[in-house]
Amino acid sequence: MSSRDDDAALTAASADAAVSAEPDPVEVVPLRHWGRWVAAAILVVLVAGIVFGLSRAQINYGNVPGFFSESVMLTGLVHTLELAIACQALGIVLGTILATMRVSANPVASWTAWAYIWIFRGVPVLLQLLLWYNLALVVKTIAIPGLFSFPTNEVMSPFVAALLGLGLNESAYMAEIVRAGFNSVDKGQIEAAYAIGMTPRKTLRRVILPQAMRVIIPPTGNDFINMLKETSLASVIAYLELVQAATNIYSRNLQVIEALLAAAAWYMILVTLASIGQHYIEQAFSPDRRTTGPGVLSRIQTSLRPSLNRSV
Amino acid sequence: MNSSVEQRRPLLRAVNVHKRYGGREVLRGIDLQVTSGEVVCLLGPSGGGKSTFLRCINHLERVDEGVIWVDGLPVGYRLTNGKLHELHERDVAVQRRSVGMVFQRFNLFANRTALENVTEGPVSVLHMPKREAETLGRELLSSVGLLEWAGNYPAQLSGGQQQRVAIARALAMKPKLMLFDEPTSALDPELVGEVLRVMRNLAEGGMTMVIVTHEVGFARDVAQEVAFMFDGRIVEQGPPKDVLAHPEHQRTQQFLASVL
Repeated sequence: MSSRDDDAALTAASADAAVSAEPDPVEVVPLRHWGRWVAAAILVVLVAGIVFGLSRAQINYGNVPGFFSESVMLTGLVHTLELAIACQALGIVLGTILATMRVSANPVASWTAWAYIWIFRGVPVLLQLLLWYNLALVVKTIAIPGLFSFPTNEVMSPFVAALLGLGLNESAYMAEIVRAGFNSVDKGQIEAAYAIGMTPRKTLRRVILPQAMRVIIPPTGNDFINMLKETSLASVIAYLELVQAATNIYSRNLQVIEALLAAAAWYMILVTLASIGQHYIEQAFSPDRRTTGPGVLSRIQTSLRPSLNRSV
Repeated sequence: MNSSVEQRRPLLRAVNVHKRYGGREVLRGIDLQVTSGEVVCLLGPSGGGKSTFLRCINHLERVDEGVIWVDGLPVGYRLTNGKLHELHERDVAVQRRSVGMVFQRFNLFANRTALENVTEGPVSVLHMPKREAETLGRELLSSVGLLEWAGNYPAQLSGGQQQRVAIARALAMKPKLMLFDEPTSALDPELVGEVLRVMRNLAEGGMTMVIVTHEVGFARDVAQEVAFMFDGRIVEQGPPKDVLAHPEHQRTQQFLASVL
């Protein structure tokens, strides 16, 4: 190293230095995720505390299964499902029509849809339910002259009022979801469809909708899960759904929390089933993006375990 | 009608085509004739109106003045008693069946496999039985060298493969005329050759083609006619051996000097 004249010696010396500064490693030590362990411990303690606290509460858990399967609860369950499905169906059909109107070249159609969405998104859905239910106060008959005529208070049953309140409100949100779906489809796809001689209608059905579905389904599933729970609002207009059923039970025996927990269990089951259904529908509409990822447990394991996929 | 007259009638005849976007005139009187079996390349710098003109030929853009005749029919219109009546979209769709188009960005249906992309037109537009359409689809995919990729989705194909599927998709409609809108401009350089090879085969098979391209070499080898477009006008037109070798217009000379 000292001699600058002797190139050979210099090269040999630096090679020696390299050897001493960069020894052969004997073991690879993966990074330990201490932070993750600490966070996990805190959470486990917190959850255990809540569970313990609830177990000490004066809840008569033994009564819950009975309420869960009582006939009025099962009637409420069926009504909840009927209402949620009917409202979502109405929302999807009307929402698709509104979305088509919104993107239409006809300005009157576009403005009408815009105003509809503006109104129905602007008013709380509970208030909408009450408006429909009490419509008979101000509108005595519902009629199209020459076609039909009904007294409003006969037509506007709790179910119909709930259907209109929740369904029309939902259609305003579905309209925006469907419109976002339409907009997500590349314009080139539409031109390609036109170029092979498809009409606009066929293009919508064969090219735009199937691709828009990928964008439409996740938020629609979300909305349906919300809808399953929003039907509980219909209890205020005396529709016998799950919450109304729980109210019936506890007004009889004063087991308030127990009856509500039984209803809550049904909601959890419905929502879980809906989520699973949503997953499969999403898969069906994404034939080119199907993936199978690792399960939850194995993801927790890999995240906590120190691991390095290499050797020395 | 006399058959020789029939033969002399051009398959495509554009007469004084104008197109404006807002106040800007992008096509300022295009006249072009393409006879059956002929290959015409449109060359020129970007913004010259080449793609717009091509899109007018199958009515993806509506012309503001002039008429484009394809196979004796005015594109987008019906001629009765000397009046051009604007066609309903579904009748325009019928006209488009006989004109195939290949896009710069391929535009394959993203949710369909290569084979399904090719069979979509025959099945949903021509109502061909599915089995028959698949046989046709496989033939066409094989002719562009992609038979073993039939089950792949566009996202799983290279740009060159996607463009070849797009050509097969257009051919599945058995068009009389094929339009190519810069078919190789979005491709990596090493993928350009495979697409040009397919196009050359088509030309040799007698397909009538109008091609917007920057591939001057391809135009020289394959086209019977090249047309240079600048600022919405065709400034020079003729057989490639004349126009490419001895351009007369100053803008053509400048353009060729810059790309060669």
